[in-house]
Amino acid sequence: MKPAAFDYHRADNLQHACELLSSSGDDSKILAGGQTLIAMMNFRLARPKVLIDVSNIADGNQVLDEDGGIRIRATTVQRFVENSESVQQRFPLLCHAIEHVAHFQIRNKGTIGGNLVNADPASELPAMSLAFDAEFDIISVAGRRTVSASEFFVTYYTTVVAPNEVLSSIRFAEPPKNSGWGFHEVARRAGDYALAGSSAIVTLDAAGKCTRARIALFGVAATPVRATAAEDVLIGEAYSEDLLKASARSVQSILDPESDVHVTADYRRSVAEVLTVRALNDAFRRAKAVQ
Amino acid sequence: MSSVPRMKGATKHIGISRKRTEDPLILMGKAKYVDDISLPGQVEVAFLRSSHAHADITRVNLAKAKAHPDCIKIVTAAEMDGGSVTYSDHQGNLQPVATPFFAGEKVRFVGEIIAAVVAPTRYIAEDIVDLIEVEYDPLPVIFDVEEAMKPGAELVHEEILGNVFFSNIFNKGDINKAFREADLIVRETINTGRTSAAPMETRGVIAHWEWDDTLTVWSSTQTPYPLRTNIARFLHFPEQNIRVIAPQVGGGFGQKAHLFPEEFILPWISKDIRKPVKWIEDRREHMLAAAQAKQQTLHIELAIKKDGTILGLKNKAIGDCGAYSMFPWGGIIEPAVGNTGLPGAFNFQNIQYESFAVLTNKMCTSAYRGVGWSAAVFAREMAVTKAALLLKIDIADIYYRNFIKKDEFPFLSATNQTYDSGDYHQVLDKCLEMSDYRKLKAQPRLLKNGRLRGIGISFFVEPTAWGSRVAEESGYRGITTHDSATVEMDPTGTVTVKSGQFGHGQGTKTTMAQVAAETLGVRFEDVRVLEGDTATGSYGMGTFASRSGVIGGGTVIRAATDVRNKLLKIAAHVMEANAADLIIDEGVVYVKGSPDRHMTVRELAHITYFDRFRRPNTDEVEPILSSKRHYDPPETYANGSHCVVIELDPQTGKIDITRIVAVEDCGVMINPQIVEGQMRGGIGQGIGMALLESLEYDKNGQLNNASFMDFLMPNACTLPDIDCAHIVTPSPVTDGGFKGCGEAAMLSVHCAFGNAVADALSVYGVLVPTSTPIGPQQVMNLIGSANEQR
Amino acid sequence: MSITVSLQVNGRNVSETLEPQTLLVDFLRNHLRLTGTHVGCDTSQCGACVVHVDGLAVKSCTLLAAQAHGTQVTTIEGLETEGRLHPVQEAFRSEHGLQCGFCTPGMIMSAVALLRRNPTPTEAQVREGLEGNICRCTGYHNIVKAILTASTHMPAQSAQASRS
Repeated sequence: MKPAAFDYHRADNLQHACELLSSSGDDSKILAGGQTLIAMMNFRLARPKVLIDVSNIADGNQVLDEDGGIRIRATTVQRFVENSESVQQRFPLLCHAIEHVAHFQIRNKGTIGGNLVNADPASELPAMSLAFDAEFDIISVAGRRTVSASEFFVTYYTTVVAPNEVLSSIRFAEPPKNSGWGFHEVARRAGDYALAGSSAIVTLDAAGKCTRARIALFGVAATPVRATAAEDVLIGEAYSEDLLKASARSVQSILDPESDVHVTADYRRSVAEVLTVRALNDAFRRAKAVQ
Repeated sequence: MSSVPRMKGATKHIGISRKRTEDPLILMGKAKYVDDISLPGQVEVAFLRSSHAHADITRVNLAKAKAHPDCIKIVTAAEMDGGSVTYSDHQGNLQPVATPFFAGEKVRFVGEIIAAVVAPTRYIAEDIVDLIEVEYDPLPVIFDVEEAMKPGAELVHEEILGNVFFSNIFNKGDINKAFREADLIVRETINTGRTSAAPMETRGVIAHWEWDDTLTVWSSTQTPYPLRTNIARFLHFPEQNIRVIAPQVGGGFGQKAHLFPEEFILPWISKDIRKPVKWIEDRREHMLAAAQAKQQTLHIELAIKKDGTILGLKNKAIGDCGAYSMFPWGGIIEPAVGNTGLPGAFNFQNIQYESFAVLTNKMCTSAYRGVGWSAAVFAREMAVTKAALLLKIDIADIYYRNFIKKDEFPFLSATNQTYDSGDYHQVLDKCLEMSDYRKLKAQPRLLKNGRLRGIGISFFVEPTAWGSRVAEESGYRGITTHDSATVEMDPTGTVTVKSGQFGHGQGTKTTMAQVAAETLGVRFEDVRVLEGDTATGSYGMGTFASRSGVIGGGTVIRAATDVRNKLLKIAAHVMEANAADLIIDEGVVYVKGSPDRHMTVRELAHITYFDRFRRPNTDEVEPILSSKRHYDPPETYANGSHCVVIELDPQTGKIDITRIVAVEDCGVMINPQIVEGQMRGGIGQGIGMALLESLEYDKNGQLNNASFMDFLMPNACTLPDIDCAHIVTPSPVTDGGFKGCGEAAMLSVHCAFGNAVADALSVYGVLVPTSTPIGPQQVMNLIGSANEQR
Repeated sequence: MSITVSLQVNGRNVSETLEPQTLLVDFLRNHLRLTGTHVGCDTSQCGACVVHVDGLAVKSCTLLAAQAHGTQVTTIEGLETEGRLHPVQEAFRSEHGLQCGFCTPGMIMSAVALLRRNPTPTEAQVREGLEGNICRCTGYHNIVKAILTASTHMPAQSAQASRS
């Protein structure tokens, strides 16, 4: 389990990385933290001809507060985001979710951008990008484009980022005041990929009625899933156990999970519903608490 | 915190939790495991392994690989023609299965070695492996043991019909009468999952054939001496020219008590190319091609009275043994040895069992901590658990009703094992008390957080001290036998123990020194133990099967006693006293009743070696302070109990373990802290088997989780703190009263876990696990089956 | 292709020419002969290879040596000072927190990082902090105990004793 040979370039910045990508052919790949890529290269399941290393660019770790949101540089390591006071205060759900990504040693090297471009549907961060209406800033030598989270993920381990493009930054939108969040996942063991997981953000008006909701699931389809129908069930309604059950029930039909060595697709589908109820419960409880 | 009683009669060194002498080098990162050794001119090996589970090899094209500029050598079956190892000496109906070093015309499991590539580094060797082209003609894959046993089934080896290479039948008592008279008969089919010992250090070998035709082999093995002997046997090298060194070894758990093809291939290559060659197994290779374990299908039947009296047991154990028989234990060890452990602590005498070792197109199964017993006792305990629920008797009360009593030893079990001693009632009392078992059992299962609490208990009896007699009681001849140790007192009075044991985590360098210091009456610091190197040790089978404490301890006691007696004889002469009046304490010899008359051991050793005027006549007393002794102990059986408390989420099937209690009687403890380390470590692996671990082969014989990404072992969050306690009933039959520890938990804690799951799910009805591991899917299936029953 | 990697390892400046596919762990073990850092799984699950890069615990089996260019690396060999064991090493010995020892260096490097961040952790926090380190021998009980013991014995500055 040793990587096959490749050519290596160290990029000075992301623009430089784009230039190197465009000049070095199709089999070139960006190396961010490498926490997934190098394991795959150890198996020789990945054999890039060229690696362009962005793991040590200047100011690689950057979390910028913006109006109504936060912009995270793609090369920022996960642990940096998790430790950011601003993220802790404004995006407690995001912090909580990142704590569930692998182990802290991996989060010390693994990047936000690398995780999102890797697009493992069982990972927590892709679902977070849906929950926070994220926008992905993608660059290449040809220019720059912005893609919303709902368009970003294509299928297993595939995003809209083209071979000659680099994810530059991600903007997470801050939920309105009077919002609460919930996050539940089931993993066989602490630190492992979730068998299934669900997250929710709900916003309540003064009367306790839901004015806005986000429900994002992971580990239950080829991409992370935003359950808009389940969100719609909540709008205009106040908390009740039946409401949460009705909302979560509508989740099952839109999921398309796989069976694997751990559990069946049916397990994932039914547990996703259970976890959605729990996530919504917590979200309503927290939203009420901030009112 | 548990309290550790000082052993009865403990003096200075036995029963004391000495800090381990092994630790400083390890803690500083300076201990040398095989991969840490680098010889000048060393080259490395990578293997091409089969990607098919069952196929004819129609063509191997090495041209591109050999054309690689850094290719030193490629070896296939053609070069090492006919090389194989076979073990054939076993009671019962055994058809020996030869295990080849290289696959020849056919491959029989994914991971089987086809070629060995030698190159300057592992990186390059893997590049060259990628250039080898193999054409396969796939054959039907034999996946399921019961299918494999059917007439007309595809064969793994043409010469073994029905794919059953070993079977035996055992009957004792009147099993038909027992089942006629039973108030309840429980019949279950139990499937224990295939797992791996998965030590943190993978396997690895360095072989160095020198120009003087001597061979040195470093291997991450538990058994350096048997490896030396069998390299000599199977490669026809002269044994006196072979030195095997097991350096620091990063865990074995039985898995490294086998001799693997790689341990023969590397020496052969080194001789061929006259260079030191190194192979370090990567984790993927380890999952595919290091011995696997514990997969059995068991048809268990329990006959029991309304009051909980067990009348008899029937079992048909079918081992899914994989494609070959891993030398020396082989796949037979799972079903055959497992069955001998069926009676456990119970005094019933009616039994009938059958064992079948069946070939399939998977990697071989063989020894791993608790081998065979883990599966057999799980089957028995799940049947007893079900009986307890159906009869509405607490399982602890079934235990009490059926226990062998402390005044009934020695006791001949239903499977003809001679139990030497124990106090099972006291052990179970202690475990129930420490875990608040009765109180928790009286409380509702449903907790405020919506989860279900389950409390499980189990009890085990373990044959330890595998010498020739325990081995024979378990169905083996000729593999294990006695061990030996040499104890030498140096001219300055310090002591060197050369041991046939070899610790790879057990701390035998520490415990054997404690035994020597105790026996000789010298300071612990003045004893050094040499082990793991055939050039400096003493012939022995190695460390496995909970045997080192008893056998290693016995060899050291015997040899050290000889040296002590010799020293006293010399002291009597020098000090002009009667030898019977002398005592040795911490390196000083005193005359009883005259504390002023004393000499140090150091002075006496010096006189013995160098002072011909003061020592006795050398015709009468030879001036050497050394003895080599053997020990082949009688049968001794440890026992103990586990309690596991869980919280089960009925909506997701997720189980959290909140409490584990372990009580054990392993006789006299040499080092209680090390004993507790073994207890807790075994619990970690037992919980792994119960909750997490499963090697998942698909119907094509592909292993779908050949890495630590998907093969899950317990981590620090899986386990709670583990409370330990000890009941000490010294063995009346072994030197030192030791009984052995180590495997214990893997005969028990997974049963307590299964029992706890059944207890938590008792709110739905009688739902007893029938397979391991018991993951979230299995829990939801159990709950689903309750809903179907309604 | 060959590249040059320059970094500081255990306080010593090192510059080596190597193939870019060289993993950091192989660079430490084979080029620098610092063999205390181990490879247990090749996929960053087991933590036997944990070292500190610029003061942060990382898994060196899924990092290229090239990625450590310009950094300060501390391995288990860099933890003791003047022949004296680090308090975490001492505690592992007194609490019998190791058996075969193969996971131990990585376990200790993780523990030191954990205590640097949180000098007085609870048992639950210690267990959570160890979720990326697998031990097959001990059942973790004594490892957890050792780290809790070390946390009470550690003078404030030796929590930062690692040279990074």
